[in-house]
Amino acid sequence: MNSPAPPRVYLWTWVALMALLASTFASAHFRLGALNAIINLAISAAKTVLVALFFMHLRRAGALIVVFAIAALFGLALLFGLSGTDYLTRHAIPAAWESPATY
Amino acid sequence: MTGVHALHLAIGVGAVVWLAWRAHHGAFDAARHDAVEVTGLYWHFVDCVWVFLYPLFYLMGYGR
Repeated sequence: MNSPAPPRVYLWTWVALMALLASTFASAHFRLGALNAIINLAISAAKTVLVALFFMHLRRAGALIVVFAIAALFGLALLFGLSGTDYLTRHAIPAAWESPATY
Repeated sequence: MTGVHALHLAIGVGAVVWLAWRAHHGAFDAARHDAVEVTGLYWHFVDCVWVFLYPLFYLMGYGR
């Protein structure tokens, strides 16, 4: 591992994350329909990039480590995606074993 | 999923407390700090999970 980044890098990353958290919370107050979800997920993606680049030191890492990290985040996205599709479509397409109409 | 995240978080807090205890006893220096590095990666992985769970569970539908 290379020499560590100066503390101000971590401070500013944290400030940026807090600003993004405030903006994602503020955006929830506006009724934008599907755009709310898109904004929230875009802000989450931006926060994840900041955490990965600066807190997880990917900015200074070698190409192999970056590839593995992207694969790991892709795996996490798969888990969220599969859980999310079940969660979002369960009331529209109930499972065969499910008791009816509790929604 | 919030519960599983709480379990992740409890493990992370335990690991960080353990690190602080080891560091207090001078276990780490500029050459030997792999445990700090790995615990940091774990902690920020848990961080990334919550970055997505929080808007998905607690913000969507908030204004309705």
